Amino acid sequence: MLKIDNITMGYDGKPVINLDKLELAKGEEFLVTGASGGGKTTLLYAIAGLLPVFSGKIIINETDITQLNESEMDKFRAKNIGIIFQNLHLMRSLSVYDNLLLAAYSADLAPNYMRADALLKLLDIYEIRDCLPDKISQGQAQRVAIARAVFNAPPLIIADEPTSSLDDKSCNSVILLLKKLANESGSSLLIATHDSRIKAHFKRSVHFEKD
Amino acid sequence: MNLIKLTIANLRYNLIGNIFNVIVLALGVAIITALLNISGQIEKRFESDLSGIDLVVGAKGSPIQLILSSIFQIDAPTGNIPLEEAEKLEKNHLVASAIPLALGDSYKSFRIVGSSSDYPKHYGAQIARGGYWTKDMQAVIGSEVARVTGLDVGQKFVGSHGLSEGGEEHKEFPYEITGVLAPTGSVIDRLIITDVASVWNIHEHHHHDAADDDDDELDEPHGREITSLLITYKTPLAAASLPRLINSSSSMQSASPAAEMARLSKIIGIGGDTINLFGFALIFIAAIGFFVTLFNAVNERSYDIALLRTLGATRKKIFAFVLAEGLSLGVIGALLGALLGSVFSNLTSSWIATSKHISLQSSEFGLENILLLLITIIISGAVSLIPAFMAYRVNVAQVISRGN
Repeated sequence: MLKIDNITMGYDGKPVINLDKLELAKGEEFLVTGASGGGKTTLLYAIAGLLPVFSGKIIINETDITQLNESEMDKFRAKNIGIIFQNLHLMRSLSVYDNLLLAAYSADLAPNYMRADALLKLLDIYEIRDCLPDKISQGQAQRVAIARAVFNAPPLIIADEPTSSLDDKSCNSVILLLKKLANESGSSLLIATHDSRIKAHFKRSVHFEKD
Repeated sequence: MNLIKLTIANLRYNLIGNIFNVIVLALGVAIITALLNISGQIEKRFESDLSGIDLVVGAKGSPIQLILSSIFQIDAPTGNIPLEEAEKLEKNHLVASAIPLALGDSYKSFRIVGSSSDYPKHYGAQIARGGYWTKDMQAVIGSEVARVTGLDVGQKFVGSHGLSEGGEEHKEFPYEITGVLAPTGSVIDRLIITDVASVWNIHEHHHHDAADDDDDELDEPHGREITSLLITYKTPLAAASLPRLINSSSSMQSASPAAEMARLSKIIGIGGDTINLFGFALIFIAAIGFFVTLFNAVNERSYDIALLRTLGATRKKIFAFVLAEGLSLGVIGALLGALLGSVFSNLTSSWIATSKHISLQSSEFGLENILLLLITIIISGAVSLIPAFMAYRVNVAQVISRGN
């Protein structure tokens, strides 16, 4: 599903991280840990095709994304990668429901209302489907962001610090939910975090040390 | 979810600012639309009233006044001309037809015009009820006169001296209405038309103090007079010689309606151009407002834009998304402005019709209006291009890393 081969990446020409090898099979879960500034987010951005790599290959679903141009990458990302950012950021002008459908619209897919309803019910946010994001709680916003990331059932779901601002109980439920949703759609799950509480949920992980 | 829904959601999110911009744009478009419509209506009306009249001959004075008083019946005449000279001119080989006009009296501010039946017929007037006069002191009335005064065939009325209300009534000389004319959309609608002889008849018997004498009167002791002649040329070549001949070798003056109206339009046009300029200034201000609004929106929503990109929206889609916002505001403003302008021009036309008894033809949504809408929408689109390009160029990783 995901194969990383000897990549170097960073900002402004300065390499931030090097990663020799990382392979993730279909449906597999993986944790990237490390302190803040260690390069975890940089790695996620590179996998999402938001940052170019200096060298090496990132192969997702048999496609070397380092060879794609920007437009091709946008289209590839829409259908293959679901992203949950640390700042959840939902579109303030759109309702919860429309924030979900935005994933399909951006990917040029027909809106799947049944899936939207099912996800909202599953995540217990169906009642707030017509609310604007500034009218819902942080916890509800987190679940909306998760629902949006999995909406198109992408083969790869990546999440950046999804539990950093949550208490223990919420942290546990969010990770279980993410794993459940990834499992249901057969997606591989890659989480970058400095939150040691979730380490127990993952069999495989890689740790980035800050230089 | 689609582009329209996304655009509407974003427009609603910044509702107050967007409404303000749309109102400013709509006002600009409305002013220009109203001006186009009203000037178009007046122009049509002028064309209709001027139709087929090549030259107006009357007493010496202001040529514009002569045109306004004889063709549009909206100003005091310049004076009178001797019938003898007028008849001599009628026989000129360059004249195809000459319609005499004799002014002097009015009824409830509607002018009583002494002429021949050729005058209403020149404007294509049809008799709606009754028929033309067959003897002195009979008259036909225009449709607007009939509507406002309630007069009808068989009824009698008494004219007042002078062209405005309040003049001395000619009680001993009542007119009998023999016909009501169908609406023509021309000056005829608001006139009472009788034979020239009726006007002479009243004024030759009208005894009054010398102090009451005014220029409009037709009871000159030295012979009969009329106010003016509406002339149609036999040949276009007459335009080169006939006016000069009249102006140099008679006590009369000639005025070319086309030339005088062009002169008048030029004078009035300065005011119109100023209003037009004001309208375009408003559109320009609104365009700047659009630019600032969209520019700020793109800056404020750079995270939204970056997010759309991470969800897979292409740069082209983002560009279209921002452009659609600007164009939507432009389309709404332009259409609202066109509607407001049309409502305003129709209200103005109604006011003119009620207060001045001048019916204006309803304005059509013409090529000029379509061009105005297109220009407005193109301007809105053009000023949206820079913010749209900014959105197109958003550095996704940088914005996402920066946070909200």
